[in-house]
Amino acid sequence: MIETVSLLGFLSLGLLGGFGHCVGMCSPFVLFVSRRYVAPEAGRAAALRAQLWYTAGRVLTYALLGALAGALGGVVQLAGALLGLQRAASVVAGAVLALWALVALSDLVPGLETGGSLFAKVAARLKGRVPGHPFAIGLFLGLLPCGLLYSAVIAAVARGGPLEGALALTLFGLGTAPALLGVSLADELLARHRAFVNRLSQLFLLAMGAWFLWTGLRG
Amino acid sequence: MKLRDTLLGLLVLGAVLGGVLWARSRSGAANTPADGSPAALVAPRIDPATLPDATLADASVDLGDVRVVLSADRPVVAFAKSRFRVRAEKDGAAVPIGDGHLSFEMAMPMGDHRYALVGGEDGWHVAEVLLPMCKSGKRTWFATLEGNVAGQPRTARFRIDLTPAAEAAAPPPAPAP
Repeated sequence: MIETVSLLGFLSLGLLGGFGHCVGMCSPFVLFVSRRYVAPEAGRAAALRAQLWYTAGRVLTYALLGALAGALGGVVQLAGALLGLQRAASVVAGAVLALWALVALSDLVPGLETGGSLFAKVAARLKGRVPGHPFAIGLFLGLLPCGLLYSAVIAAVARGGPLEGALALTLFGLGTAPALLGVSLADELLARHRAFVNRLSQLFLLAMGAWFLWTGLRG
Repeated sequence: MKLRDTLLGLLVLGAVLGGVLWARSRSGAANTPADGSPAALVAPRIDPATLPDATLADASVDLGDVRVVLSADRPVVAFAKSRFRVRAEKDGAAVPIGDGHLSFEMAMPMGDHRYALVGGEDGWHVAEVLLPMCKSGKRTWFATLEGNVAGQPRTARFRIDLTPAAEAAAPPPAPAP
């Protein structure tokens, strides 16, 4: 049987994993939130607000997963549910990221952004479908296929109840926040307002979106 | 203004990278797992090639007077419950493992996976384990046995590669004609 992890352990797991893991895996989503929900002239406070909403959504999803794990109290039932969730979230998030990046890059190809092309139609539809608030995107992206998150969920099974599991995963989620907020601030100061670096980050989003899509479809 | 932003941005980026190095160094220092401390359960810097591999067959570690064997239901599939068995032998006979634990860790921080071993038949100690798989595609986990064997606290390390669930579900390749 898996051993119980202390609540402080969940917080430190989030903090440690935030820097050691999330910075590598989740930076594209942090960049996406800034570009999707914060106008270029809106300033740093607006960017921070969007990231905090995104974090709140993410942490709420983690808490719900923790509550589910604590309520189920067993790893077998959890395993099947996690696998399906991981694949679905990977495919959807990858598609959204890749399409969004393509839309952002489309001005590089003359005539692609305007007119009645299929791409323009898809882009217009996508813009309408991506949730209108960073909290909502955080809720969804909290389901992303992340081995570290699901490690915490598995550990939450041993907490012994839904409330305990929710609290554990909340602390875990809060622990991951400093690293990702740091990425967002660095992006705000170094990349988002500089055309060339911003282009590079769009290419990064495209590559990561394609990769998430590929790994999700491959299983 | 732009220069100030750039300098500040580089400072923040430096702080984030410092955090990454800090997290990695915590991983490397984790040679003595402790209860309730996920940080202590992250992988030590071990060359995986030097560890006995339990992926395809039972693996053993020779601890001098004692030999420790790790066995698992194969393949060990990501997100599926797997039964791991550990047996300690001295002069060919099984010896009990007191307060035995099996910990699992990866080369990157992947959380706390520490299982208590339960005594079973014929000297085998058992833990039912569920391991997640990182989306980065890395699949090597390090398994560390800790326990009192033949009157001494002992540690034995192994490696094991996870099989993605999709690969495990795929039908085996047809035999060559």
